[in-house]
Amino acid sequence: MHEPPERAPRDLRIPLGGLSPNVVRRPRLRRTLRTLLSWPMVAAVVGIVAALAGGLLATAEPQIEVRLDAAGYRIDGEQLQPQGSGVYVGSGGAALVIARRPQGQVAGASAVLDGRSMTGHCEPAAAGETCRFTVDGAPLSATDQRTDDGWHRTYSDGRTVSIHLTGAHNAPVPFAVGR
Amino acid sequence: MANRSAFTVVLAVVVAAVQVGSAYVVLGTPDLAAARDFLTGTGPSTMVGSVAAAQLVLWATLAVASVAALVAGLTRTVGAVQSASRSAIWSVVVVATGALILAAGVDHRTTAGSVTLSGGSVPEARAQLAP
Repeated sequence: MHEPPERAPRDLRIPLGGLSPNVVRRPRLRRTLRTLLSWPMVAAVVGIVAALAGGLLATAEPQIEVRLDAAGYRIDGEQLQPQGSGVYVGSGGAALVIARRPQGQVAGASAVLDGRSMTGHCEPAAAGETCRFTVDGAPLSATDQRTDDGWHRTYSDGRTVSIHLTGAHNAPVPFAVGR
Repeated sequence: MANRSAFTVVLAVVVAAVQVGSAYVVLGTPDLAAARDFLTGTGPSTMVGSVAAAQLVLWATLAVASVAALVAGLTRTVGAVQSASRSAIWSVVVVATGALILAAGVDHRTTAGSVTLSGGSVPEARAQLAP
């Protein structure tokens, strides 16, 4: 029986082209950066930031411009023309009535506001005025506190709106705006 | 590897929680009765009903997206091999959900700051003067 020649032990090495034969570990910082800059992480950050921005925008206090002068009652871009005796009527039929009472100005309104039928009543109070509304049949109230440039309204459900007045500085706003 | 898996699970849960919380702030709770009336009722459509139905659709979309993102985020840690496709699905769903909430927030901000008046009547307005 012919036995195969015994091979001499050989040192078989893979040519590394000048690289170190030692194990190279990536630095921890680089691994961390690689994880942070991966697509899922970027997507997570974008998704969270977008969601938080949406929440911030939704809770940010809106501001409404109201002007009462000889030309009529203007709320945002809607003009209500004076009809005399404190009555103001918009082109679409929205109506506002302002009456003088011993305790001050009292106002009533009737309109379809942003697609919702609404009536409103505002009367003077200690720190400004109080208002009550009916929006699509549901009751709602608000307190208006006087500010340097108008009213700061707080609705009974906690929502707030800043009402900036020009013209008459005490113009009532019996419309459930900023909702 | 275990640390990375735990991190991925926490990330998926945190993202889902933040997005659902933001959606609650932006959309509020949907009026289910009004939405049902709008979708199945035979009467005339109302603004309240249409808004409630839109909210319901958005909530349903967000719920599906959040569950899909959560499942994709959690299950890719279970397998020995990380699935690139699941990562991609999770990333897309998370970004799309965030974009949807942002769009709803922008819409809410825009509509809250504008006033559109129509309808109404002087007699009804005059009737409001009563204390």
